[in-house]
Amino acid sequence: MRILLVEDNLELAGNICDYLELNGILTDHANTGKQSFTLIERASYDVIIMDVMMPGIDGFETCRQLRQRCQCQIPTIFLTARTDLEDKIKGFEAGADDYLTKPFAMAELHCRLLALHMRGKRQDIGELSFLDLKLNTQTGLVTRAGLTVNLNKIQYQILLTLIKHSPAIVSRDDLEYEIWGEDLPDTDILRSHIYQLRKIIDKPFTQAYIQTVHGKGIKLSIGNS
Amino acid sequence: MYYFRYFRRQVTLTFIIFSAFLSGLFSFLIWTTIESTDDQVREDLLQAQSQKLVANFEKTGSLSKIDELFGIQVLLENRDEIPAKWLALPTGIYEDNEEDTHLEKILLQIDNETRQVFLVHVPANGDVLDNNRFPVQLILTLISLVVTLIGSLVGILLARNLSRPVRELSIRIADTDPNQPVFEPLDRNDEFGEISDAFARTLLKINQVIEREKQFSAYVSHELRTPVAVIKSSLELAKVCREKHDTKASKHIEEQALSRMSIANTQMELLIETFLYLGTKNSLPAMTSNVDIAAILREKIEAYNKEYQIKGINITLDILQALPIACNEKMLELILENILRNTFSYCAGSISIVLKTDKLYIYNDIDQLRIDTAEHFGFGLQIVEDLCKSHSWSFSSGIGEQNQYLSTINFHRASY
Repeated sequence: MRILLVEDNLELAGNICDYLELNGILTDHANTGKQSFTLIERASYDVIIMDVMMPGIDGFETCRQLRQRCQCQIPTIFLTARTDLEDKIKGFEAGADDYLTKPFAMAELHCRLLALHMRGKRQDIGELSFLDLKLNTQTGLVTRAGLTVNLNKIQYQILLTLIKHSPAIVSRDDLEYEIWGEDLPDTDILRSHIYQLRKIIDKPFTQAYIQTVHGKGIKLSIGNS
Repeated sequence: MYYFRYFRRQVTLTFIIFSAFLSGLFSFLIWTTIESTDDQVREDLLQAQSQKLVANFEKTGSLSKIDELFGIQVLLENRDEIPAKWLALPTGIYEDNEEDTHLEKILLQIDNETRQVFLVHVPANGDVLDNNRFPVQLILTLISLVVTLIGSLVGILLARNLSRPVRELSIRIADTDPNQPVFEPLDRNDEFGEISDAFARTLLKINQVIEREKQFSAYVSHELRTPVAVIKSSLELAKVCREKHDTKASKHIEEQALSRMSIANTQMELLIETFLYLGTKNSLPAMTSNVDIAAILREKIEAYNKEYQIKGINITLDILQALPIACNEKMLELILENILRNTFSYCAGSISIVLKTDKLYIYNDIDQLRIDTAEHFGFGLQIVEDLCKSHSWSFSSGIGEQNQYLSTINFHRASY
């Protein structure tokens, strides 16, 4: 696991780096939010630890820019002396995945980092993909093998849910809930939408990705078109 | 609502008592006037009759029977039965309460003998006042009751009218959130409006004090959390290092952890001392003594340089051998500690410190980002400014020559 620590207090940063490295976690340190952009461009990280009160761009803004501008999917945990509920809300709204206040236990930080790493990258940010099928959550653009695919709103929602959960199976109930929420349609309109989606996504190609698992639901996997 | 009713009851009761007292007093005065008028009339009557009797006696030499219209009897000594107590009286007009009579005693020469003559008015025979005593008293009592009743009604109406703004005021006060005491005053130009205005202004001041205290507490809490986090993490790190059983690397990390703990501890001590000073500065005695600022400055720089040696800071000093200044030594230490902590914490390369006879200059290479956002580490400098003001010194900070951050303290020695 590789961590990026963004913290302007050198003593605290030194302790965290030493502790994590003693536990076999590679850690890079950035003094400021701006430095963190450079490091993220150069290397790949599993989790980011971010302070809030930093010179230059503060932690909230850094995280916001990472999510929106850089479409960074790396899970981020805020490590800050700001303990107010408002700050915590601000942190999560900026795109954080976790929030830990100072003073903290190193063991707790370690556990949270492992949990975030296990959870994996954010699936709601940037470009999601399944083989050559790509879906950009920011622009809404869907392509397969480099060709643009035009989907209506519901078809897009179905594909987004399937990609997010791939390779897992998504039940019909879960799909319906993702699309319509509590207001479920009276007729089995989902079947019709999936049929149309297959026609657009799979039919022009030799391999079909949208697979029905009888009695369980639908998933993305390789099959014959 | 209870207080409103209680208030109304209080006012009504006050008006009842007051009205009853006034009307009772009024009735008493009327009754006393009637009584004294009655006495006066009787006395005048007696006097007139006695004059008439004397004139007639002098003219005729006999005591003729006088007009008994008003029930006046003429009693002659040795002729009629006269109570002994009357005989002992000197001449004049009297009221005998026991007999309920008015009398006048005169002396007449009858048959070469001075004899006492009494004109006695007996009211039992057709006295107008005595005959009408009960109706008059009844009328007066009724008047008293009516006045008391009217007074009570006026009291209730006044109480209702007066208690309306009081009730509104009490509702607003009860609705005021003690955590955010904001109060909207009553839109009135009378005394209640003035009271509510004064109350609103007071609450506003209290609110400002609460806000200031909250901000200060939040600031203190925030400032202390980072050094506490450093100390806590250093301890945990040192513990982990010890569990690794003496590898060279872990020993080195342990030493670094202890060094960081020391830095954090110093920071915390300084913060606590500064906060204690800021919390009690108004009650601190202004104890001043001659302090060698050059010696203290050198000592502090050496301590900070040792703590921050891992940053490899290049320090240039141009400090006078000795510079005695009359000041509070503790405050001077706090000023230097705060300014040097900021300087060493945010230094990106080199520090230059110059101490002249009246000024202290601290040049600091900090990276551009930090210069752009100086407000992020301005809390310490704000404290330095406050502390300097307490000594009538001036403090300034900002970008100096060669894009360095420059902090200056002017001791204003000319004023010493």
